[in-house]
Amino acid sequence: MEDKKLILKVTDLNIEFHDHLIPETVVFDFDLDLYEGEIVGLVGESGSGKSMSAMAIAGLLDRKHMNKRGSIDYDGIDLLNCKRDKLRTIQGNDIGIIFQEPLTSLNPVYRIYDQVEEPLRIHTSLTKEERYEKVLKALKDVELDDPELVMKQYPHELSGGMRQRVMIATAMIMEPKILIADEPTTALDVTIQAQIVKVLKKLNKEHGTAIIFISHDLSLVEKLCERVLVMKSGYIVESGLTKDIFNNPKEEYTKKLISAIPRIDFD
Amino acid sequence: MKINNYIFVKDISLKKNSLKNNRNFIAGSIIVVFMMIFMLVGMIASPYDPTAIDSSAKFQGMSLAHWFGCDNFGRDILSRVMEGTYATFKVAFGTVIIGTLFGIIVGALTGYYGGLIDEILMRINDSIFAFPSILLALLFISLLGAGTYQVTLALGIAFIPSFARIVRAEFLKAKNMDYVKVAKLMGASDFRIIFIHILPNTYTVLLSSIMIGFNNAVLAEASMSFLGIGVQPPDPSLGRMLSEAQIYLAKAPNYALFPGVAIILLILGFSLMADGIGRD
Amino acid sequence: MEKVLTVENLIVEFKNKKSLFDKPSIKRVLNGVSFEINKGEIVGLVGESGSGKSTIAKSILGLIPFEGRIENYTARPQMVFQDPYSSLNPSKKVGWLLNEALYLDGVKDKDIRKNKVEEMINLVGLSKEHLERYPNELSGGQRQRVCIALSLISEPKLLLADEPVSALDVTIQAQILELLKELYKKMDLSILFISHDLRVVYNICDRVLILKKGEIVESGTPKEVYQNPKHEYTKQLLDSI
Repeated sequence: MEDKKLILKVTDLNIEFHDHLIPETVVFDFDLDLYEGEIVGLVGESGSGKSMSAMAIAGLLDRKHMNKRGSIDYDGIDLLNCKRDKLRTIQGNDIGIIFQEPLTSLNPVYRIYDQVEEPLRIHTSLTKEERYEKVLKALKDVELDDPELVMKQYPHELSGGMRQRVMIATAMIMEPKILIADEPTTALDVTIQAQIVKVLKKLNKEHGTAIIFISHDLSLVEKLCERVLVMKSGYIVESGLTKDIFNNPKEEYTKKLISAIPRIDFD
Repeated sequence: MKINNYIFVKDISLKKNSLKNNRNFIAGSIIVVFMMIFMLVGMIASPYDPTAIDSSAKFQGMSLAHWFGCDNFGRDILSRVMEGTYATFKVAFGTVIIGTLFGIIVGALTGYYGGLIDEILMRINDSIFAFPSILLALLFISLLGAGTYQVTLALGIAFIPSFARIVRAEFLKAKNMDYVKVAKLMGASDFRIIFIHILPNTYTVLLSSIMIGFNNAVLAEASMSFLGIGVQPPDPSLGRMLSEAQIYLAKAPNYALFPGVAIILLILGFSLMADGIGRD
Repeated sequence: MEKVLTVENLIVEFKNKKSLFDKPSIKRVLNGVSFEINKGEIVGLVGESGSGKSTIAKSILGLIPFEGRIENYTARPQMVFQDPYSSLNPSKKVGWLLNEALYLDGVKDKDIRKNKVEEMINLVGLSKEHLERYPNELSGGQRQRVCIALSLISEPKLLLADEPVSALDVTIQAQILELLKELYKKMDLSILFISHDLRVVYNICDRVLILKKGEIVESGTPKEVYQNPKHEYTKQLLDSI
């Protein structure tokens, strides 16, 4: 890791909600150093604050009703406190995000092509032909069988796995430095999960995109991530290399997560 | 964002959802309660007989004896506004009850069963809906004759389609939820599923549309009485009073002012309540 | 062995009619599925989404029209659905729902119902105070426990579990599976366990059926099937875990 460049540094991130009568802290002292081209897993149960932290990094937290402390340093810019327009250029260009539910994250009234192309229209001055080429390549990159056909289809015509591939293509089209994947496989079948993980791995290798992979399923994290942070009720309780954590979990909670993975032992 | 409603479901239902903390709802309730008290005082202890003519008091201004002044026949405006609010309220209430009751039945049946019943009832619904409700009410009045009860019935019928649509949409949504299947597996009859399992889930939507419907009914009653086909003279109604007052607007502005304010307050109160409920 | 369910040559077709004047297009979802469930067995039904797993469950319960023969040897089988968020009526308290299930099952005595409801809520690992809660005041795992209580309170002999853990966190999944196993023993159940996850099925089922595009392509004990998969599709499924 020494030779790699640090691209994102989160220090002391605290998130507190104010929209209820009693303020409620959901993320405590979150620290993360993300290096170029690595895949980091963020694991925990629902309510552990893993998605909140990732949303903060993506700059997607609602600015009302919320108190945030700490800093998220990306390329000298503090994503937590910078101006909205600055954030917007970074959001489109440098940080991509995919969500759990691919059906609700695609707009049902637009064809796939228009949705994948949208970031190019906003952030670049490419010609129509150049944009088409890029979209085609992006869809090929996520291993869709017939990208030319998919382009012309609407989201409801695609299966869950295909939609998630389209989401990944959309997130990757600006070639972001960081891709945040928030439970991208949870709503999918096991077979499709494996395929999506494969696609993410490939994109990481080919494009050098750093990935923050959020999941409640340690078995997927084991397949994909070099490093993992385990979160529980807003705190990072354990972090380290994935293989170390799997072979020698220190925290009770991590052990519980590992033992919860359904396994097949023939004996 | 998924995470929000996932972790905080508990908190939202306990704190945020409670109407007690909803300023719109509170403000609306205060206004409505105030108007209710105003109306009740009029029913129990009206300062004067609202229809008693006193030619010596014609166009008397506001005074201690007549707080709101007197009208062209020397009738006490305060008493008449109280009585008129009651008349208006009665019509609006009846309208909403007819509209909601039949709207729920039509909406629930069409939404739950779909198919042919849906096609037939909703096409009838559409054809009623196609007319402006006042125009439709006018049509009924011409058949039934003018008067308080006729207006109530006419407006009530005119209001059925909008409620039916709202309820139908909610039932279409609920029909496919798993909890309906669970109820079927328990062995619940269709009747029970419709009215006991699904209907309570439409309350929030229904309640806010009842409030809005109430407002529309107040306005419709006022307009119809204004046109002279609602509450018949000499009984007061807010719309009637406005209509009578318009000739004397320059001479006695208080005559038009107070029934106008009463209408505004009624509508404001219920709008705020509807807004408060709808926000959750 | 005593049978609780026989399914023979089950065929289900969906007619898709877009508007009044459209010619309906027919999609065959199940293409001659046959299997049986013996008393005291947990049978796993595995396949991807779209393979027709849930359709089988729905036909068994008579929620959709079908062709073929389904014979139920037990009274009113019950079902646990995948999504604990949509399978509990949001406007009813947990206690009301459980009471309703008993009432509709024909238990007319109020006190008996009350005792039974309390017994059942304890049985699924929740406590009396949960009876006074609305579904949105419960976590996903707790909701699924309530769903299980709801389906078992009328003491069915056959339970259809349609992906009962797929929507839950892995840790909660393990707890719910544990609970199902426990109740299976206590209540003398037979279970049809539907899942897309071969690992989950391995740990809970006596027998497994692999379903692909509306047909059963392979069946046997999980060990047999997993150690020596015959069908290409089974191999593919095993590769992905």
